[in-house]
Amino acid sequence: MSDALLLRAEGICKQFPGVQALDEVNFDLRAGEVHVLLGENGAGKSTLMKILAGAYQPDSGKIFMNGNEIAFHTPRQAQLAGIAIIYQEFNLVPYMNVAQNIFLGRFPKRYGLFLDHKKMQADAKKLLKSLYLDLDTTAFTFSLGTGQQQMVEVAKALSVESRVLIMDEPTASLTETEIEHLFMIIRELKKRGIGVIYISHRLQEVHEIGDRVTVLRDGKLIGTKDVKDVEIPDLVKMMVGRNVDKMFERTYQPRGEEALRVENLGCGKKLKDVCMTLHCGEIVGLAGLVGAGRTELAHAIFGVDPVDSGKVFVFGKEVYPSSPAQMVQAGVSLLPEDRKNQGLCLILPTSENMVMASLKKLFPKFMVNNRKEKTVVMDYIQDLRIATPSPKRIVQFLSGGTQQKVVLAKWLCTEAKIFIFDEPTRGIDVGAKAEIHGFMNELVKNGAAVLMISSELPEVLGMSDRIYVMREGQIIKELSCEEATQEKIIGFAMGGDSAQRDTSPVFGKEVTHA
Amino acid sequence: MLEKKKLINGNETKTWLIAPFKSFPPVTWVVLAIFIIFSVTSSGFFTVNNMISIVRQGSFLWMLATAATIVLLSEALDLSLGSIMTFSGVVAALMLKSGFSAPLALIGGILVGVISGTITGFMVSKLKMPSFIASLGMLSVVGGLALALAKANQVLVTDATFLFLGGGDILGIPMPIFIALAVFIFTYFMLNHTAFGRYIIAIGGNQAGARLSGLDVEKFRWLVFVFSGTVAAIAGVVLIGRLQTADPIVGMRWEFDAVAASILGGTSTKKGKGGITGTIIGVLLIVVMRNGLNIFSFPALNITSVPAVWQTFVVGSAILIAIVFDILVRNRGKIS
Repeated sequence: MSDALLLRAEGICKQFPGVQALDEVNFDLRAGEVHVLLGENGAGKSTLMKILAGAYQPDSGKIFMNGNEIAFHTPRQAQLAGIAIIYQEFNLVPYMNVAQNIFLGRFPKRYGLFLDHKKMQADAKKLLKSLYLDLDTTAFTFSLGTGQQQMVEVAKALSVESRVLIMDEPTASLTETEIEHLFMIIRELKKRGIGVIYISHRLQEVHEIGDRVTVLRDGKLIGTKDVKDVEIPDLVKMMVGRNVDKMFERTYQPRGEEALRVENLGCGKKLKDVCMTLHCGEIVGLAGLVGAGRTELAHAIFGVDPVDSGKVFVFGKEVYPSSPAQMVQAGVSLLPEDRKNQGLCLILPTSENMVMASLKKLFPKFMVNNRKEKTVVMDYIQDLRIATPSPKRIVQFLSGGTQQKVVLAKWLCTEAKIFIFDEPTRGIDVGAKAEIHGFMNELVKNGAAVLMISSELPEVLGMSDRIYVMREGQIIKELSCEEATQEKIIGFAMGGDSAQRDTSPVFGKEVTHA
Repeated sequence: MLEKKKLINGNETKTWLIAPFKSFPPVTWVVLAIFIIFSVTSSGFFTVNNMISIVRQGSFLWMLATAATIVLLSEALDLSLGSIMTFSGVVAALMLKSGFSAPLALIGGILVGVISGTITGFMVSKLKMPSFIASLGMLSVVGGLALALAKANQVLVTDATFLFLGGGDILGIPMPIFIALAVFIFTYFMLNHTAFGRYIIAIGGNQAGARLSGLDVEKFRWLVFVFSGTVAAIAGVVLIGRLQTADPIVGMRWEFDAVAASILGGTSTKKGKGGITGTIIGVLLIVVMRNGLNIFSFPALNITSVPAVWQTFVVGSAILIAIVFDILVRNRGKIS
């Protein structure tokens, strides 16, 4: 039984604008096994999974199920063929009960018209019982905990005769006991001959639940191994194994006064007891996996989301970050990850986006002086080499790199001293990337302080003076640029065995500088 | 006719305001068509007197629609404009009746509009209520208050200042037109040449982005409603002079006309697209239709006029059809 191939994908390629998401990837799944899919952010795991689930179509490559070639054009076709997927974000309707959620879209009916509530409840109970789940089928799903919601998702996925179950980071938001329960159910599914594709960022889970493991990196298949043959450090090496290219030009200078200090910052489950410092003249990298709390930390410092506890000091003065408006006044700026939706007003011209944050400063009398605005804007267009045919060009029509420069210009206009870059070069072509890095270098040279969140390890290693590694809402480790390596960062970020958790308080530890 | 041409051209050359559309709103053709039909069918339509009368009737809706457009641009909705207009008029009329001087009555009438707008704005920006619900609630509250204060009766206005503001003219041009024009010019300047105007568009276009740019989004969303309430109140105090009476239900359905005029004029309910110039076209469409139906005759079909009881229905349907037409034209090629 266990050697029968359920699903096989051959030579899968998928290209998105500007990036080869998958490049000739082979993947297979046996009946009754758990196949773990590993990789860094952006390695292509999600893309592969979505192709298997029919949400994307591959550019080339073949998919076989039980030996027959298949091609899915919609998620529904994949579902009917027996491939179920549980996304990290649950797709439950909060004000429907458990049974209704499980049979959503396939409600049992009487006379083909009226809902058969009795049958639905009975079927749901039967299904849950077969999974050893103890859930009230009449409860609204919004009243359930995350773990229970996950169980409903599993039940929903299995309510159609699925042979393949794809789970995207199922344990990301579960507690230890809930994880145990989930693993128990997964083992039960294995017994039934169901193949499970399991995507995770927690390395220790590979040995706990996996039979085989496949590692992807930059859209390429690095290898598929039996779990019993590999150790965690091997996996880490497979995941990073990349050379830091020498494209990062940094000039280092002695670090200046303290620009930003965060003490014991807490924000619900998202941030726990975060302490960090940022000095003028340095770039501090913030590394970690997606969901580790890096953006949340940036938002907390910038006053976007209210914090529960902790203190923020800007240039030695305590500031309670209650709103971005206040933090901007204090000299802090944020270049958000989602620059289209959060950094810019897409329907407005370049010039208006550039002065938006500094209108009060530029025009204290509230009247906008068009000539003065134009002078300011033209200066920045020249200084930052912003490729726009005219300052009146609608920002929407500019390239990603140019848009990022407009966001940067917006903050330069406010004379900000502290710059928080969230994924500064995501979706930006190589040339513009180098330029953005050049500007960051320029900023710190002129005495500004830069906090850089990045999922690209080479960028973190190449640009940072110091690096904080975050995991699960905490700063796990502080590394100087000399001691940092890709393996170390990934180790700390994923909490593998290779990296013991640094339990000593990170805050206050001085790292000497080259 | 000439005036309309100018407006259309004005629209074409006003670059960034309606840049997403690159030209005047599609319903301009509808306005022209209706204009021509009425001119041909009804002999009393295309005359100097009737044209002045159209513009005078239109000036009140123009003020409300300008306010409605500003609110729409900030990605909110103000349905209380008609009620605030009524309420302000009733308050001013009652003040006059109880012996206050004309300037005080003017200030009092406008002040209640400012207060109403402040309350709506507070609910929307601070309490995070959907603007649709908050302003709909204010529609009832303020409208009800007007009815109660006036004891459901019309309040006569005899004060010379008010009668001049509403019914007088300078060089043959009615005063309400000057006032509406002043409101328009002020609003235009505010929208295009002040930081506040920029903020309105930015907040409407991308509220999250505006907040992350350090704008005090709450404050400006609040101010938008204060502004719209104020403009509605100005319309209210001028209207009682024009009608020589404060009618506690005069503003009914005006909120729909005001919002409809904005939408017809090219202002989108989403993303802060549009501008107050296009709104003029929307106002014209509605006003020309109302006026034309009054004097509509079509001897060939033996129609001499549209019965008054049917006018609301006809105008309402026509506005709705125009909006559908407008949206179909805009979405051309976008619907798969």
